[in-house]
Amino acid sequence: MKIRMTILQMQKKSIQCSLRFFILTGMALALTACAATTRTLDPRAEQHFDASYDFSDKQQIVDVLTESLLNAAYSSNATEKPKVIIYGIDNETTEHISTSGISDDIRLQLIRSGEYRFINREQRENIAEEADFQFAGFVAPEQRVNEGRQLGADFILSGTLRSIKKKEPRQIRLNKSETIYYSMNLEMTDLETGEITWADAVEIAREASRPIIGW
Amino acid sequence: MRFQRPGRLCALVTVCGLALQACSTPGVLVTAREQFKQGSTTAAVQTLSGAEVSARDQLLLLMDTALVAQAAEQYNESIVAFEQAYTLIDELDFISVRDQSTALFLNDWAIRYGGEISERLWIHTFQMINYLMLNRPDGAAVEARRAVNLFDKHGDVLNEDVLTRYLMALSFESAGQFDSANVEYRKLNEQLGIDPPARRSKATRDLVVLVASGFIEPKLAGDLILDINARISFPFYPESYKREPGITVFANAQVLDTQLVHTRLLPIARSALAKRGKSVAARHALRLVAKNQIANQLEDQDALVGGIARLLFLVLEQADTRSWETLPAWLSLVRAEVPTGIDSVNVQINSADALSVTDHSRTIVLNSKPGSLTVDMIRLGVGRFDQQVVSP
Repeated sequence: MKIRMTILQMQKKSIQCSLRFFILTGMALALTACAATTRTLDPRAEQHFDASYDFSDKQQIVDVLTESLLNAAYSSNATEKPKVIIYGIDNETTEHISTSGISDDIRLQLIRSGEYRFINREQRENIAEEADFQFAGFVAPEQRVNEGRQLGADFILSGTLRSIKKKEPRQIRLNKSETIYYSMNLEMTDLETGEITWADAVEIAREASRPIIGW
Repeated sequence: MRFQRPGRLCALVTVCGLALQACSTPGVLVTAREQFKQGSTTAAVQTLSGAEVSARDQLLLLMDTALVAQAAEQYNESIVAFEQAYTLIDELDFISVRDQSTALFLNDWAIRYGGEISERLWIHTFQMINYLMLNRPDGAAVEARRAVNLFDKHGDVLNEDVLTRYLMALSFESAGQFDSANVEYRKLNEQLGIDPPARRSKATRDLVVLVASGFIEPKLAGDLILDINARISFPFYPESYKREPGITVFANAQVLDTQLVHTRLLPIARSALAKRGKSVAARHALRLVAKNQIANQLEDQDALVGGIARLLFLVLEQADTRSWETLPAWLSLVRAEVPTGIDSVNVQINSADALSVTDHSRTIVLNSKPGSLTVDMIRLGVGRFDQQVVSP
C-alpha cells in the first residue's frame, strides 16, 4: 500500500514537473514572439508582399531605362554631352506612387555615368531668388554669379506610369486573385525639333492571391 | 442542478450584458459628432485625435477624423486618415470566421464595420477634394481612378452620384489626363444629360466651389416582433426633405454663368444598404435558428434558464445602425469661367430645410495665372463661416 502511494506521489510530482516545464516553455516562446525585431534588407533583392507597386519594381524600372538611355546614340555621336531637363513622370495608376523617385534615380545614374548633363528645373525659382539677392547690393560685385550663363536644355525627359488591375470574376472559390500590369514609358523630346528621339518602356505584370476566408 | 443554475444564469446574463454594451456607437465618436454638428470643429478634431475605439469601429473613427479634419482645413491630416480608411477597407475584404460566428450568436454589431459601398466611394470623393484643395491634381487623379473601379463594380448603386462623377472628370482634367476626363464627361452626358464644360480659352480662369451642406440622416433601427422566438431588427434610413442649396456667383455685382451639379447622399446610402440587405437577412435567419436551438437545449435542462435565455436573446437582437454620420446631406459643385480682370468673386449660398434657412456668403480670391483653376470648399451646417446668417 505504501509503495503504491509513493509511486502515485512520484507520478503526481512528475506530472507537475512536466506541466511546469510546458508552461515555462510556452511562456518563453510567447515572450520571444512578442519581442520586437529589426533586420536590414538588401534594397536590390526582389521582395513582393502583394501585387502592388513596391521598391523592387522601382529598382527594375530605373535599371532598365537607365541602361537603355546609356545605350542610346546621344553621347557617342555628339560633340558635347546632351543637356536634359526632366518634366516629370505622370502617375496614371490607382496608387499614390511618388514618380519623382523614379526620375530622380534615373537622373542620378545618368549623372554618375558622365554621359549626360542635367538642368535643375526644381531649383529655378530659388536660383532666380538667390541671383536677385546677390545683385541687390548685399554681395560684393566680384563674388556675384554671372547672369545669362545658364544652360539651355537640348532635350526634355518625360514619361507616364500606367497600371491595369484585373480581379477574378465572381465565382465560388477560396482565394481571390488579382493581376496588376504596370507599364512605364519614358521618352526624350528634342527641344529644337519637337521630335521624340528616344523612347523605351518597362512592363511588369504580377498576380497575387489571398484567402477569402480568414480569422 | 441547484448549484449549476445560478452559475449558468450568471454567465448568461454577463455575456448578454457585455454584448448589449457593445451595441452602441463608441462614446468618443458620439461626442465628436455632436461637437461637429454644433459647430465646434476644433473641439471635434481634438476629441478625435488620439481617440481609441475597438477594432469593430475603427473605420468609423478614421472616416469621421478625416472628414472633420477636412472641415477644419487640415487637408494633409485628412488625406492620411482617409488613406488609412482605404487600406482598412481592403484589409477587411474577406469573410472573417470570428466576426461571422460572433454575429451568429449576438448580432451584427459584432462584425468589424467595413463601410457601405456608398461610404467607400465618398472616401475617394473627399480625397479628390483634399488633393484639389492642395493643388495636387496627380493625387486627385489617383483617387478618381479608384472611384472608377467602384463605379464599374457597383454602378447600379452609385450611378446617381453625379457630383463624384463630375469631380472625377475634373480631377483627370486638372492632372492633364484629358482622355480619362472626356470618358467621365461623356458618361455624365449619356447617363444624366449633363453637358461637358465648354472648351475654354487659355486666357480665362476656372473657379470650382464645392459646397457640403447639412448632415445625412443617421441609420435607425426598425423592429418586427413575430413571436417570443422571432424578433427581426433591421437598419434603415428615414426619409428626409432637405432641399438642395441655391448657389450664385457674383463678380463685380454681376451674376456669372455657372454650371451647377448636386448630389443628395441619402438615396445612394439607402440603395447601398438595400444591396447588402440579402446578406443581412440571411445572417438574421441563421441567427434565429441558432438562438432557438440554444434556448431549446437550455429549456430541456432547466425551463427557467431556458426561458430567461430566450428573453435575453430577444433583447440581444439589435439592428446594426452604424454609419458615417458626419457626412453632409448634399454635396454641390458650382463651376464658373471667370473673365480676365476680375480678382475675386462672391459666392452666395441659400440652404434651406424644414426648420431653418441658412444664408452664407464667401469672397474668394482667384488665382491670377491665366488658364488656372481655383478650387474652394464651403462646409455649411458646422458653424465656421465668414459671414453666416441663420434665420428661423
